[in-house]
Amino acid sequence: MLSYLLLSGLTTGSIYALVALGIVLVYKATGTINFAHGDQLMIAGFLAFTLHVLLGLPYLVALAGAVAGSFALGAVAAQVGFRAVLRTSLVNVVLATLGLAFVLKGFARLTWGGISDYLSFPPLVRPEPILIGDMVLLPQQLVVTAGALAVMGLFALFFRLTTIGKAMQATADNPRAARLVGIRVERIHLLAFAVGAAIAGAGATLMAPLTLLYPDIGFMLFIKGFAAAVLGGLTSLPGALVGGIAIGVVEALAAGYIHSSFLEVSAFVAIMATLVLRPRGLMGGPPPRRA
Amino acid sequence: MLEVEHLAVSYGPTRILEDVSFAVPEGQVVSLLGGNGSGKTTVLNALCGMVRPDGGSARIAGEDCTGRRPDEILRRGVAQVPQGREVFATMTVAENLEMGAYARRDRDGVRRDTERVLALFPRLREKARRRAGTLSGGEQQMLAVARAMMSGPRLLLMDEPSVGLAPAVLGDMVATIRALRAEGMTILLVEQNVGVAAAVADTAHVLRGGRIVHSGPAARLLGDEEVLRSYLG
Amino acid sequence: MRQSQGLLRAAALAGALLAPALAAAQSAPGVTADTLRIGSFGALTGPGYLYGRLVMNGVEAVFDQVNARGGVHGRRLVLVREDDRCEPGAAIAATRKLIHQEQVFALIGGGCSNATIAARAEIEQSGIPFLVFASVHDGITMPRARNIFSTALTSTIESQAQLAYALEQGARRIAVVSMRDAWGRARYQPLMEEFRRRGVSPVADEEITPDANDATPQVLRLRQANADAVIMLLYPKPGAVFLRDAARFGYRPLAIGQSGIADPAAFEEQVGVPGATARFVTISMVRYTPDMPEVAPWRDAIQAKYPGDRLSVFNLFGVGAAQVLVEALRRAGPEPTRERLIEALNGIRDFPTDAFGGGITCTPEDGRCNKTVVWIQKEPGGPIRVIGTTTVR
Repeated sequence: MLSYLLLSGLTTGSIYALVALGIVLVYKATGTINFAHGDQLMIAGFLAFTLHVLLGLPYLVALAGAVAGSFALGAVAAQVGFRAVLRTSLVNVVLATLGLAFVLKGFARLTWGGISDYLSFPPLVRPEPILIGDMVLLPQQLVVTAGALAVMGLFALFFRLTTIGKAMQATADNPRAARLVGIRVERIHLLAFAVGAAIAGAGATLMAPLTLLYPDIGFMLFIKGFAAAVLGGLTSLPGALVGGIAIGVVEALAAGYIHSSFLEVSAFVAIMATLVLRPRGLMGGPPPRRA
Repeated sequence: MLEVEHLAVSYGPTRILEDVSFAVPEGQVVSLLGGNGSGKTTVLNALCGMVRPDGGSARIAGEDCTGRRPDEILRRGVAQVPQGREVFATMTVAENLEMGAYARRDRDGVRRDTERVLALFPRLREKARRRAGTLSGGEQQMLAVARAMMSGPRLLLMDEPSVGLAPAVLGDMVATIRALRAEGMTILLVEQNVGVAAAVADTAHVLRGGRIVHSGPAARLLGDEEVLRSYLG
Repeated sequence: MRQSQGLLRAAALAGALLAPALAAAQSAPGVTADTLRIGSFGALTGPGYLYGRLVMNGVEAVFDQVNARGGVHGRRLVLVREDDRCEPGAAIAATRKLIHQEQVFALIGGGCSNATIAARAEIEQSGIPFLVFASVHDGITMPRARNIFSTALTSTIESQAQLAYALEQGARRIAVVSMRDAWGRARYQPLMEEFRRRGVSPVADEEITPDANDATPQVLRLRQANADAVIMLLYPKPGAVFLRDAARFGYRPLAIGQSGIADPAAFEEQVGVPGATARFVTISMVRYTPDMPEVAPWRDAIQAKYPGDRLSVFNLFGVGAAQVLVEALRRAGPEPTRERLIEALNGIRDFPTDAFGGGITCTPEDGRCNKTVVWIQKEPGGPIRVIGTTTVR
C-alpha cells in the first residue's frame, strides 16, 4: 500500500510541481505572485484542446501552439495589465493578476463553456500501461513527471547558459544593479510573465489528459501550485519540484492511512509546519528585492 | 567630457537638488563632496538615468543626455559604481563581469576588457567561479568597479567607494582609482571621505543643501580649514 | 359619524365581492385574447447552458407544436427567456424582470440549483405558478411552496433510488464516495438517512474533492473494505478520476452514479481508461436516449429549429416539463388565472409524457411531481441503453 501511495503522490505531485515552476519563475524575476497563473494554465489547456481536438492538429503542434499562444497572451497581459502597476505597490500588482484571473475565466466560460461540462483531452501516448505490483501506471502520468523535470532542467540551462537568462537572474538578484548595467528591468519583468505563461502552456497540455479541462480548474491548480512553491521556498526551481511532490505524497499518505477527509487539510498542515521550522521553505534563498 | 548645468531634482514634493552646475574634463578625477543628505548620490542617479531631473541638463561629450534611460546613458559611455557595492550576490564573479558587458555587442572588445579588468584585479581572477555574495567587502567593491569597467566606459561615476571598507583596504581603493586615471579614465567621484578625495581628485566641489557651495583644485580646497568646517557642519 | 362608517363598510363589502369578478374580466398578467406569455430563466451562457438554454429549447419545441395545433384555448404560447448565468444574484434579477417587467403568466425554468434556490423566495412571494425543469436541490420544492412544482428529480429522490438500486442488484457491501461541498451534502445526508431507514450501513465512506486529480487512496480503502457496490455522489471530474484509478487496480465494483453525471458517453471519454466504465450505471431523468426512435419527432423538431444542435437529454427535460405545463394550462380553462393554473397542476395524476420515466403526479402536499428514476448504462464501445427504472415512495 505504501508504495502505491508514494507513487500516486509522485504523479499528482508532478502536476503541482509543473504549476509551481511557473509561479516560482515569475516570483524570482519580479518579486510578485502571479495569481492569474492557474487561469493562464486553464486558457492554455483550452487553446491546446482547440488545436488538437477541435482542429485535429498533431499533439506536438498543439503543444507548441499552446506554449506560443500562452507566451503571447502573457506578454500582452503583462504589458497592458501589469506594466503600469509594477512600479507602484506589490498589492496593486497582486490585484492586477487577480483581475486577469477573472477576465481569463470569464473568457473561457464564454468561449468554451458551451461544449461540455468537463472536456476530455486525449493522452500524448497510448502505449501499454505499466504494471507495478497489481497497480497500473498510466503512461500520461509519467509524461507529466518527465515534463516537470524537463521544464526544470530547461530553465536551469536557460539561466546558466543564455545571456537573457542570466539577465533575468541578475534582475531577480538585484534590480537596481541590473538597471545600472543596462538591463531594461521592465522588459525583463514582461519577459518573466510571458515565459511563466509559456510554462503554463506546456504544463496545461501535458496535464490536461489527467485533469480534464473546465473553466474553473485554474483556481485549484493555482492553490496547489502556490502551496508547492511556498513549500519549496518560492525562489528555487528544484524547490518547486520537491515542494510539489512533497505535497502530493503527504496528501496521498494522509488520505490512505488516516481518511480521505484529511487529504485536503494535510497539505496545508505540512506547509505550516515547514514554514514554522524553516521559514524560507525547503530550498529557498532570500526573497527577491524589488526595483 | 561631462557638463552639468542647473540640474534640479525632486522626489515627490521634496526638492533634493536646487541648482547644480559643474564639469568633468576628460582624463581628470573630479570629486563631489558632501555630508549625508547633501544630494550627492542624487546627482549620480540623475546622471545615469535612474531618476528624472525636473530641470537643467547633463551633456555627455557634447550630447544632451538629460532624462535618458540608464541603458541609453550606459551606451554613451557612462558607467556607475553604485554605493554599497550592489553586486549580483547569487551569481558568480565571472557572471557579474558578463552582466557588466550586457549592453555591448562587440565580443572581441568584451574579451579584451575582461583581460584588462582581471589584470587590474588579480584577486577576481582567482575567485572567478565563486558566488559574489561570498566575497569580502573589499573584494565586492573591486567587483563593482570591475563590472562597471566591463561596459567600456569613458566616464566612471563612483558613489562613495570608501564606505564600509576597512582602513587597510582603503589604500587599495585609492590605488585603484589612481591606476584607472593613469589609463586615461575620466572619473566623477562622490565621496564623504575627505582623505580619499584629496588623495585622488584633481578638482573638488562641495555640495550642501542641493547646491554647490565651494569649488576649486582638490589639494587647495580640501586643505582649507574653513571649507572643511562648512562642509562638516 | 356612525352613518358614514356604515357606508364605508358597505362600500368595502361591495368592493370585496366585486373584486374577483373584476379580476377575471380584466384577465391575468401575461394573458391576452390570443397569447399566453410564459417566462423562463436559466443559464443561457457559460457551462450551465446545459441545464438552461438546452432545456428551454425543449420547452420551445413543445410550445411550437401546441401553437401549430391552435394553441391552448386559442392562445399562442410565447416563451420569454432570461439568463441567470448560473448565479444566484442574476437568478433573482431574472425572475423579478420576468414577473414585474415582462408580466409573464407563469414560470417554467430553473437550471443551476443554487441560482434557483436564491430566486425561490421572490417567486413564492409573488404567487406566480412555477414549474422547475432542471434544478435538483430539495430546497427548491421543500418545504412546500403552494405555487412551486418540479418535474426534475430532486437530490433526495436520487439518493434513495441509488441505495434501492444497489440492494436490488444484490449488493451486500455498499460503499459511499462523496464530495462534501453544498452539492454533495444535499445528497449525502438523505443517503445516510436512507441507509438508516433500511437498516444497512456503508462498509466505507470516503470523500473526494471536486477538483481531485488522484483517487488512489480512496480506491485502496474501498478495495480493502471489499465493497461490491459504490454509490458515487460525485461530479463527472472526480467521478472519472475515481473510476480511472479503480480500473488501474483492476477493481471494478458496481458503480452507481446520479444525474450529476448525466452523459455516460462523455463520462467514458473523461475516464479515458478502456473498460473502466463497464459496471457504471447512472441516473437519467428521462427514459429515452437522444438516438432512440421514440423521440424522433422531437429530434426533428429541435434540430430543425436550432441548426447545429443535436437532440440531448436536456432538451427532453424541457419537453417533459412543457407537456405537463401545457396540460395544466388546458385544464385551467379558457379564462386562466394563476390560481386556476395552480389548482390544475395540483390535479395532475400519473400523467404520461414523452420524456420521463413514469407518470407525473403533483399534489397540494408534494410539489415534487417526478419520482421515477431511469437507469442508464453505456457498455464500453456500445450505445447508451436504458436498463430500468426505480420509483421511490
